[in-house]
Amino acid sequence: MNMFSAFQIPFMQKALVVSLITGGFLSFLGVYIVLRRIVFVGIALSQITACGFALGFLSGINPLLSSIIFTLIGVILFSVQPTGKKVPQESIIGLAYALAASLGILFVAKSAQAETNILNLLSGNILTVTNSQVYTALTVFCLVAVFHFLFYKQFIFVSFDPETAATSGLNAKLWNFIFYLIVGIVISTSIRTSGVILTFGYMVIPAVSTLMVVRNLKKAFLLSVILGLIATFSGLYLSFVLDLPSGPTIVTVLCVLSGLCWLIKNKSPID
Amino acid sequence: MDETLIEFKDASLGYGPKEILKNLNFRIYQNDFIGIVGPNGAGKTTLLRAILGILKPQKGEVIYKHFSPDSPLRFGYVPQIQTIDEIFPLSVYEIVLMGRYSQMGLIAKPQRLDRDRVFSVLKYLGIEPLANKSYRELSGGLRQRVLLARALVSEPNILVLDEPTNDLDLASERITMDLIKKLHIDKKLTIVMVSHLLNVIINYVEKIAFINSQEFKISDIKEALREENLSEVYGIKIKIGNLEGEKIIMARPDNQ
Repeated sequence: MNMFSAFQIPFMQKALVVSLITGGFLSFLGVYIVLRRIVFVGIALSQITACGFALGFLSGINPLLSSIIFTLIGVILFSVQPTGKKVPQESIIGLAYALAASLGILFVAKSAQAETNILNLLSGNILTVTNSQVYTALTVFCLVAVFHFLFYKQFIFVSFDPETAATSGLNAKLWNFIFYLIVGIVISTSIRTSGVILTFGYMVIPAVSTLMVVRNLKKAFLLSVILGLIATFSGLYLSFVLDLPSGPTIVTVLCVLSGLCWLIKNKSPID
Repeated sequence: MDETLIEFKDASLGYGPKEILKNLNFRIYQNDFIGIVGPNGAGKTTLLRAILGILKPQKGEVIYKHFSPDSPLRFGYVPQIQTIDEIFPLSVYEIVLMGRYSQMGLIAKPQRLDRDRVFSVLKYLGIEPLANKSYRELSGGLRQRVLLARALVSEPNILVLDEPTNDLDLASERITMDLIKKLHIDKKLTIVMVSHLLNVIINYVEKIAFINSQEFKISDIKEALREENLSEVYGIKIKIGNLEGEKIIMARPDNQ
């Protein structure tokens, strides 16, 4: 079956739309995440969100609500850095990851329904997305993209040099919190459709690949998004024709693109 | 009479329950050129953060001059170059433009005035041809000038520098200090700089603030540069010499 026919099928169309939006925006946000050296905040927040879903499935609370509450706790923990400079931030991220992963397993151990749902969250199942999930993703990512476009100055200054940003009158702590909040919102929206593995892959691999070959930040954002979109399109098609799980296939394609970037990194850097 | 820009009144500074500097009482006047010196870990950066207003005093108060209700004191801050993460693929122009962000609207994009201001400062500092160069490809001395340019484009009332000669070679160190002195004279800019390198700053600053073991003393450079004063601050015998009209400071063991 050719690519055109594959994407004529309704469930493939929905999967394509939701993964293009998710992949495009996460690839953009990933540039900030890699540059700020907080890559593992992404995986830890994903795990915290999944843990929130698990608690929801177990307790009967709306899983989306419980996952949002858990994500918010994670956002506050990572942005406020309650231990100050005595303990490196990575150790807090590691602690949060271990706790969230363990609690997630404990929650699902007591609920058969939760176990199935959590497995879906981990591996993702883009092919079964519902219309409401497509609309939710579209709304959330469009709003967040507009917000990032409007406040580019603040996000870039606070990411690059938070202390000087604070001395210039910018509320660096507030903008830092907003940044983490956006990461949290995006992750909790994304893992419902794409799963933990693909969400993390989108957040890290396109940005890393791009930063190997680009010497200009705005072009880095653009190329990262383009790589995310190419991998989504081709990965989704390959998973369909080869009958493979879509999320891991897209991640594998992202890694192949990353390898290509590594091969050309010294030959043709993009200014 | 000189105009007070910042006044510390019985201010104690520290982090959490830990008090690092006690009962500070001093003023920074318009057109001052102050060097804050002291051994490593004495609290120089803590004081600098309080001057900048990003560390609130535990006790007492720090009063900042307001030129008008809508026009607070504006700082130009030059951080230590090691604190800037060179992983960011930003050009010299993009970094210097950040100094204008506080004067743009919340969602406004840079206007012609902002761009003109950036290029005029780059030209003044002799780095205009580097505007499109990547910051991370520059030498330490040029990076320092880029950060200085970013501080200047905000048209500050007071320029605050944290260890501006750290990690610089001898030539870059001299060029940077000459440039800072030139700014003080040409632009009548009030300057406060922290350094642990007394030898580097004594021939430039007009006042020196010594910090040591919670003690703080600010005085005119001529009064401060006495061997007994310095020996007391550093806890080692200090000799002050002259070489071609410039002062040099040497630490000597007690038996020499």
